Amino acid sequence: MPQQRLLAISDLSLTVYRWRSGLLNLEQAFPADASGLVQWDDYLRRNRHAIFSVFAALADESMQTEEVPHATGADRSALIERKLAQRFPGSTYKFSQMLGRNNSGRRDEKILLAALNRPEILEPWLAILQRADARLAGIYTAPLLAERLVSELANGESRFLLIALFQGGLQQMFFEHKHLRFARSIAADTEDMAAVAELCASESATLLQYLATQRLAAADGVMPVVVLLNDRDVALFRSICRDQGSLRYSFADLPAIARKHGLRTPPEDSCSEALFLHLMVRRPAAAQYAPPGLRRFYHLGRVNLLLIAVTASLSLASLFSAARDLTQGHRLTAEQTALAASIAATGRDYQQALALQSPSQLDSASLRTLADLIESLRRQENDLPRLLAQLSRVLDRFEAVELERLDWRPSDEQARANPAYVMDIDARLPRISGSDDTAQADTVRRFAAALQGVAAAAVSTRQWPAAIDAQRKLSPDQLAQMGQETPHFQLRLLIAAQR
Amino acid sequence: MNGDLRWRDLWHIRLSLLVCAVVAALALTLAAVARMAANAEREATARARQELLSLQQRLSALQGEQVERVIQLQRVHRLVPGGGSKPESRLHWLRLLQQAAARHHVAALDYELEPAAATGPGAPQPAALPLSRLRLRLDLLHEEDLLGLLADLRRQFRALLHVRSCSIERLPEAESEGGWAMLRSQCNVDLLSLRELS
Repeated sequence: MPQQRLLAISDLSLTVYRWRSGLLNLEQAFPADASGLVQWDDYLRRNRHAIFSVFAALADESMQTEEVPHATGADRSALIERKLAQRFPGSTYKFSQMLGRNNSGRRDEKILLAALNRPEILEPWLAILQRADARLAGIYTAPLLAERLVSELANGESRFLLIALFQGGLQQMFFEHKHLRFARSIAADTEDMAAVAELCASESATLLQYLATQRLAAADGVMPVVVLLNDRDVALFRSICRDQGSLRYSFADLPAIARKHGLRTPPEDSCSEALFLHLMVRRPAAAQYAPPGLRRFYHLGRVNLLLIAVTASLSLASLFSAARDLTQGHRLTAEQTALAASIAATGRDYQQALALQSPSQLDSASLRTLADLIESLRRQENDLPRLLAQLSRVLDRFEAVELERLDWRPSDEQARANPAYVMDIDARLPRISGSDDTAQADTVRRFAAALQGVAAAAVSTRQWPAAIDAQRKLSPDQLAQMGQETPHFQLRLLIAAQR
Repeated sequence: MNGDLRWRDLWHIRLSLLVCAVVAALALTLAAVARMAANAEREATARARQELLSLQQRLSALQGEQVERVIQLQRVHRLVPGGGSKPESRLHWLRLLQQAAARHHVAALDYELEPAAATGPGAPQPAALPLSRLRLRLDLLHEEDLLGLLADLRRQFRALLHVRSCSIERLPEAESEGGWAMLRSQCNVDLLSLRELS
C-alpha cells in the first residue's frame, strides 16, 4: 500500500507528516522560501509514490450560501461553475456543497460556495507536486474536516460555534443543522494561552454579531460555543470565556476526541492540527479545494489499485475454480478406475451367464406359451366325453328323438386358451300319420330347452321339421311328399369349455 | 472518464495494465483449461456409469430370464411327466392306433397321417412342437368306443392330442358290417409331439 503523507501548509512553511495506522509522526519541514522549495522538490523525487493530502491551516476562506434552481447532471454542474466563477473570479481553489432544498415554492437548492482567498500560499508547493506527477488526494481546511465532528460536539443543538486552536491562531466555524455555514480564521500568538482565551471570547461575540447581520443567526437567540482544548487549559479558558448575552461556552476534550477517532498520537496541548491531519486520512471530507487537474494522478492511482484488486480477485477466483476442477477431475478419475473394474466384473458375470445358455434353447416366453398350450389341451381332453354323456342323458328323456348325426368342433380355432365348441345335432322324430304339428314343434322346443342345460349351452334351431318350417314353400305335391318323410330337424349348440 | 482523469492518462499505468492483463489472461486460461479437463472427466465418468448400468440391467434381465425359464420348464415337465419325446415315431403311433382300434371293437378303421408341419400363429417355435394332422374314419358300435379309443391314444402316444373336430352319424343298414357297427365317426386330430427340453 502506498504511504500516506500529510502536508500542513501555512504562511511560513510546509510540514510533512507520515501517517500510518493512526500514528502521526513529523517527518520533515520546509521553509516557505527558495531553499525550502528546492528541498521539497528533492523530497518529492524520493517519495513521489506516496499519497499526499494538503491541510491548509488557518487558510483565509470566503464562504457564501446561495439558492439556485434545482437542476441535475451537466446543467447543474454548469450552473454551479458559473456561480463559483461569479463569486470567486480568478480563484483556483474553490468548491460547492449542497446544504438542502427549500420546503416551499420552487424548492430551490441551497448551496455553500467557498474559495481560498490566498492561493499564492499553496501554489509554489503544489506546482512542484504537480510537476512530479505526485498523487494529491485533496486540499482540506479545518472547517471542511470539522463537519466530521459535528454530531458529537453539537450536543443536540441545531446551531453552534466551534473554535479550534492551531499554531498561529484560532479557527472559528459556524454550523447549522450539521452543515458548515461560515468560517473565519484569526491570527494569534498561541504561546500565550491567556491572550488566546481573551481573543476567543471577544471574537466569538464579534462573530455572533456578524452572523446576526447576515441573518445566519438570531441576535437574541442562544448560541452555544464549543472550544476544543486540552484539559490543562480548560480552567483558564473557563475563567475568561464566561457565558454572556447569547453565548454559552463549553469545552471539548481534544485528546479524548482524537483518541476516539483513532489517533494513536493525540496532541499533548490544545493545538488541533494533529486531529485534523488525522481526519484527512481517516474521515476525509467529501468537499475539498483541489482543482481536477491536481488530483489526476491520485485518481489514476486509485484506478491502478482497483485494477490490481480486480486482477487479484479474478486470479484468485480462477485459481480457486481451477483447483476445484482439478480436485474434481482427480476424484472423477478415481471413480472411473473403480467403474472400469465394476464394468469388467459385471461383463465377466454376463458372459458366464450367457455361456450357460444354449442357442437351441427355448426362451422363457416360448416355454410359457408352450405350457399354456399344454394346459389348454389338457382341459380339452374331457370336454367331448363330458358333452356326449350329457347329450346321452338328455336323449334318454326324449325317446321320440332319434339322433342321426352329431358334429362337434371348437368354434374358434385360434382361441385355444378358452375355446367354445359348436355341436350340430341332426335328429328326427317318428313319422306318425296325421301327427299334430303343434306336438312336433313342442317336442323340438322341449328338446332344445333340455339341451340348454348341457354345459349352459346356447341352443339355436337351424332347421325345423318340414311341417312346421315357416321357411319352407308349401304346395300340394310337397304336402304329399311331407307325409312320406320322417320329420327331421337340426339344432346348433354353442358350448363354453369347462375350466 | 471523470473530470480529473482522461483516457490518455492510462499511459502512465501501462506496465500495470499489461501485467494485470497477462495475469488475468493466464488465470482465466488456467481456469478454462481446468474446467475443460474436468468436463471431459465428467463426461467420461457419465459414460462409464451409463455403461455399467446398461451392463447391470442386461445381466439382471438375463438372470431373470434364466430363472423364469427354469420355472416354465418345470411347469412343462409337470404337465408332461417324463419330458418330451425323442424324435417323433410316426410309424409307432400308427401301430398303437391299430392296437387301440382292435381293443375298442372298431369294425373298420381308415386313417391318414399328414406330414409334420409348423404349428399355427402364436405357437412356440416349430422346432419344439411339430404338428401332425391325423384324420380318422371309424365304424363303431357305440360312441363310447370312440371316447375309449381317444383316451387310449392319449395314454399311449408320447404326444399331445388335440381333437379338432368329430362327427358321429348313424350308419345305414347296408353299411353296418353285419351288425358290428351302428355309427360312423370322422375325427380330425392334431398330434403335437414335444421334443426333449432342457
